[in-house]
Amino acid sequence: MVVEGIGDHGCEYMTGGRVVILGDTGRNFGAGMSGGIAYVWDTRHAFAQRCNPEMIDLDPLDENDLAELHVLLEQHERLTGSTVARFILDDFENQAHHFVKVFPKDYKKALLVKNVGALNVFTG
Amino acid sequence: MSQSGLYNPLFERDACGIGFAANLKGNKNHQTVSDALTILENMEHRGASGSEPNSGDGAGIMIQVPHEFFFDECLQLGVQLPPPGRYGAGVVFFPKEIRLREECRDIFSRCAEKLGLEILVWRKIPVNSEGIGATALSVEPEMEQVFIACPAHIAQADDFERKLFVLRNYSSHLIHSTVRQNAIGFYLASLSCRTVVYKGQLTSLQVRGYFPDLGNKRLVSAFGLVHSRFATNTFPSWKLAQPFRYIAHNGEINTLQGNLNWLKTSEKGFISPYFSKEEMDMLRPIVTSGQSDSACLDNMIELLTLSGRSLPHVMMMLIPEAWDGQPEMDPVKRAFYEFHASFMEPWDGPASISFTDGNIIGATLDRNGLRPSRYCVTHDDRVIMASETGVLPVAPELIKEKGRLQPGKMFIVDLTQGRIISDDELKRGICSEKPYGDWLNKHKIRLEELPEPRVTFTHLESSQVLKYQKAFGYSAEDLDVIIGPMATEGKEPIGSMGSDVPLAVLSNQPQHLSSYFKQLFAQVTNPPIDPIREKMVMSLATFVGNIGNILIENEKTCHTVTLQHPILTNHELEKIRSIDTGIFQAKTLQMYFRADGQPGSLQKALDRICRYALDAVEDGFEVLVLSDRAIDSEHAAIPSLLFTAAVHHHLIRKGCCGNVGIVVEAGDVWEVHHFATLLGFGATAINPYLALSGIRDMEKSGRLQTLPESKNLEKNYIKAVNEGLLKVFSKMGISTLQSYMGAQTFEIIGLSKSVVDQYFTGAVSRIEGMHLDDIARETLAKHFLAFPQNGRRASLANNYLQITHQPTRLPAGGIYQWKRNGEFHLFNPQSIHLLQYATRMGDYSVFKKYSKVVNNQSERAVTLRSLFTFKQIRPSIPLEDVEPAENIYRRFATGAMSFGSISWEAHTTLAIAMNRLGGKSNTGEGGEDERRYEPASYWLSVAGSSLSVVGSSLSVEQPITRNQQPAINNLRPGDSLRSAIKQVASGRFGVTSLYLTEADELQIKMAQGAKPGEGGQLPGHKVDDWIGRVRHSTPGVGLISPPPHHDIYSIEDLAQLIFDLKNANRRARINVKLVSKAGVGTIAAGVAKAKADVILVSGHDGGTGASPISSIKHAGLPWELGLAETHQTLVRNRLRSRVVVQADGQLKTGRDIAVAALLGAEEWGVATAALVVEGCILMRKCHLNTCPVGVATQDPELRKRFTGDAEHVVNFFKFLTEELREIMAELGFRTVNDMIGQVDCLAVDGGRWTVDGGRWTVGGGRSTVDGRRWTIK
Repeated sequence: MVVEGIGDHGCEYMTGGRVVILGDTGRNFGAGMSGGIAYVWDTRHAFAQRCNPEMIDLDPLDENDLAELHVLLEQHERLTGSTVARFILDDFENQAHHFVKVFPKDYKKALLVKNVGALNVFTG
Repeated sequence: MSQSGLYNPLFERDACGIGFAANLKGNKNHQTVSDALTILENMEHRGASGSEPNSGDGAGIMIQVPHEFFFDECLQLGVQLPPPGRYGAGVVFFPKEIRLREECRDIFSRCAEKLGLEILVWRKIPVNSEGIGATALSVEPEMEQVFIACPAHIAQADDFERKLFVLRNYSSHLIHSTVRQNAIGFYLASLSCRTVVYKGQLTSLQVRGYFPDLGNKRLVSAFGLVHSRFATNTFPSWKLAQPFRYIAHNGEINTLQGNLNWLKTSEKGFISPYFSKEEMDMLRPIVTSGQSDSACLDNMIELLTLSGRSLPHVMMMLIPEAWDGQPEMDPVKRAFYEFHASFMEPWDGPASISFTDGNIIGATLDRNGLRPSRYCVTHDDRVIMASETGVLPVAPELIKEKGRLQPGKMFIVDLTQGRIISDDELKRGICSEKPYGDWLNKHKIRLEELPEPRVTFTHLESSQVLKYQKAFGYSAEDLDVIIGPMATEGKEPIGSMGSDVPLAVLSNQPQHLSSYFKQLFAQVTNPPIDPIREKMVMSLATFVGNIGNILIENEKTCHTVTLQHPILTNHELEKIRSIDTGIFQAKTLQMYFRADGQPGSLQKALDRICRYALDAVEDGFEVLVLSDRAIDSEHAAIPSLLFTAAVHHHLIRKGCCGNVGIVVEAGDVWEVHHFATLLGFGATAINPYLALSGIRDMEKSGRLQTLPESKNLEKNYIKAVNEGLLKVFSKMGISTLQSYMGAQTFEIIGLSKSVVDQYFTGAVSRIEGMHLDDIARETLAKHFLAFPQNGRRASLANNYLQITHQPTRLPAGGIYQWKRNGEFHLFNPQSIHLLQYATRMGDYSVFKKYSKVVNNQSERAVTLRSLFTFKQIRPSIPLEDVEPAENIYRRFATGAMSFGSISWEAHTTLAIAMNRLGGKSNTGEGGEDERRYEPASYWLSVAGSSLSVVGSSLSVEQPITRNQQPAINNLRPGDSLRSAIKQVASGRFGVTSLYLTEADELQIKMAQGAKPGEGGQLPGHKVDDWIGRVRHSTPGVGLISPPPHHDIYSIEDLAQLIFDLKNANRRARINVKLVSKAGVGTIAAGVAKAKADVILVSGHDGGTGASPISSIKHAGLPWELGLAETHQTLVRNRLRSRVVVQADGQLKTGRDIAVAALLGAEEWGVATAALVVEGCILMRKCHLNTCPVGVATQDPELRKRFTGDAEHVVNFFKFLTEELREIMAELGFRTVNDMIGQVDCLAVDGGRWTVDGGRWTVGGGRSTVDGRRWTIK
């Protein structure tokens, strides 16, 4: 799911899937989030303060993430004609640095244990 | 409607739709009124009606005084009205009976005269009652309008409003105390020179037609504020309809009792420059009894507004944003909130409020924002605000702006300035009116900044610790199971399975006083708060000191001690004890009574401390430290809960509770529930010195398993208490400690009326019991154990504890797990053995032995039902004449236990057994493996071979590993593994379309008996591949079910889910699961109106896979009470025939089933006993995944030990039915239907139990249970 801004309690109790947020988030992001991954475009670097850090880590994106993000953005741009997505895609090298990966701690552990590369088993 | 049976009008709840239409420029026209009525009509689905569809729960509209219309109307009556603003218009509800009416009118006129106000004319409001339901009509009032001239010497409209306010309160009080009251009564819907309210017991569609005035084109207003009510019951009352005079409220105030106590104690000291002393006396009481929570809030807003604050300012005081721990908030705003918090607690609960004073109109949401509020502004200057969007059709091109109100935010339309004022601008203005920040810096006392104490108490010596622990009733279990883990892990301990120990009042062990108090919790009408999600809006901050007079803004009112949380270490306590700022001092009082065992000793001591406390307040102390440290052989400690509540209520009665903060220094406080009860009954801070000493002592003696530094242990313990407290508040839907304090959100079971009325005034109590002297005896039993000065005392104590006293050890306890020398459990080795043996052998005679052991509670009563005996009021019939067992099986269900909490084997065995019988098994909340919908032939064909997962969302076919291979003992052709009942819980795990369509019944779980108001958690290590797949989640990742359904914040939301589920599966019955509590009956009435088919009332003692221990023990009520209340309330509301009522909670024998049927349940759920039949031996290790008998574990090795068999379970239900049929034959009932609700067949056993004319009413019989037989003479 790709959105361009959300209110409070974003991704709470999320158990699976992918979320991309190209805009502001409200407070208490990621409360009770146990699975899935969110990519947040955080140009103002204010995102960390608005998270509920209990169950999630904020990580940089690795190559797989970037590839996945690119696909999602292209799809978003194609389906909605989003100018924001177009802007990011046009300047992907630079804009990629502004993305934060929200990675639930439990989910990370579960993936490590299973050591599976294919992460997209569940899309919700 | 008065109290009757278990029904009490106090429990009534409502939830609603609200909205307004306004003209932004303040232009008055009729279209706006008409638009508002359209909004109302379009919210019809948010209101409700009872058993007759044309009697609504209430609806109405508030508009500005329509001068032109009134002028013309009055001219026809021969009176010329003064110009607008120079007269007030009132809407009066009179009784129909003419003599009463004229009596009321006479008193009202005399009151007006006394205040120097001239009544110009009375106008009868024309109404058209065609099509109004009979229930509503039966109490329809006679409505009249009164017009009152503004005296010439009053120039300001505000001053005139104040006069009218005094007139309204004064005349209402006078009429209520002098004129005979009937069901209709006298009521002033509004009396103002600015606004007028038209409302009644109507559906929202009826308002326009009922009041022809509203259709008159000359009736104009710049706004129309509307409200449509959905109440949980249908007892009609026209005056409960909204809007009130300032607000329309959609929500519920969870802290009402505390707020009202607070108001009661502070209103005596109210002084305001706007009201003379005489007028103040006429105004009091500000809030009268018998009103809804919304009406009380309206009264409070009115008072604060008319005493000089602006309406938005008042709203910010009463319903503040979350400010504590909000680093992003503007410091000026923070200062405003912090300043006001030091003397005003939030009126807490989900709330969406529209408010107006005639000049501005606005809306606000509470800090959680759980009730919706949406607005729309158009290019033609209209503003539309409502509970939902789309209530008024607006052409899309006209829309200028639309949006949703955010939590804690406000939205104001200023009709005189003709513009919208944003939340930012508005609040910045209000917050900078006074230098709140400077005031705080100058006067606020922060604990950290206090000087070192004058003297310091040291910890108790080791030798003393044991003595104190005995005296205050600690058991070894309390140290090892509760305090120890809290200190080492910093968390409340987790337990499993239900509680099967006696209720406190029935136990023969000495109880902690708080064990008689059961925590209330929120369900359906308002949501419990999700402490994970809402952490940022929750707050433990508290203020100790004098709150003064709130009607005047005074910088000194914030001269209080600020605490981050209410738990004090010894050092912090000493700082407060030594405090002296020149105007702020503390006084310590000792809480003991003479240990002479004489009647009246405790009473005398309580009288003394109340007197001392009052003296200390009058002497100018701001803090009272109530301490129970000073005990010795001849003086025992008063239970802390008792002395705290006694002092608190004494000070309330004397009107000076607000002048002082109560700090409790107590030995008998160690688990979260103890702290919660103290705070709920008036304490502001607590020092648990003995628990802290106990931790130190255990650490020294090496009794604790891990040994971090000593400081951390104390800190961990306090952290655990604080987190536990947040959980307790959130259960009730309360988000701040300040509102929880004094809110008395408990039901008392087993204290006599005299004790409750005197010391716990206003708390809910329906089963009586102990008197003050009994409490003293109970306390002395513990005291003598610690101070066995002579043989007589020691033997008394031992006799009481029924064990031989061992001087070096604490009593064993045995509450959390069966122990040889401990508390009695219904499931003990003997009863477990008999039940398992009987069902395995299929031997009914052994089962009879089992049920005799369980039922025979003559020596040790455990449950409320054990106090009943059957009364034969009709001739017995032969057993053959009772309907056959096969007809009865379908009434049984097994409890909701998820696949995940119990093993595959245990889960399928129950399903097979219930399907064989024709009963129903329940999936629990974790979904169901699709393969279970396959017939038995499928399972028989694949048995033994390796299976592959079918129909999963996995893209690859994943073979099931060896240990997942379904083991099904003795599967027969025709068997089915499918569970008839599918549960839909807050997490919605595994809820798919297929799952819903494969159900015969869909159960919406609103609460769980073991932990009502809380969510669940399946730890990651229990989520293996299989369970992850069934729940559609990632294996290894823990799963959390939040406390509320996040799509159900009110009863209209529940109605929506019921509607959706009926669409998903139109064959299935919809079952709503509730937990017994005071007021569950009215909730059930609401659920019935929301069109559920089955209502399940669960007892507090239901089982669980993992819950905080304090929730298992202290939250919720026995099902006997909830079921009886539900049945009675549904019958009264004529809704009983619409629904099936089901009961569950430790049902074990045919006798239990019979009692449930007689109290009103036609279907019954059994869970724990069925697990025991499958092999459970109550190890209470479900949450650890180490169940030794393979029932509640996912460990493949342990699962191999599962020995259950569907046939055993079938036997069990056959035996239950047989036993039930025997009772039916004896009592003369041919069918189960005949016996539902026949409470006349139950009697409280007068031979064994003292009955003293109290209040637990089961249908006709009035009886009270006073069930304590131990005595120390």
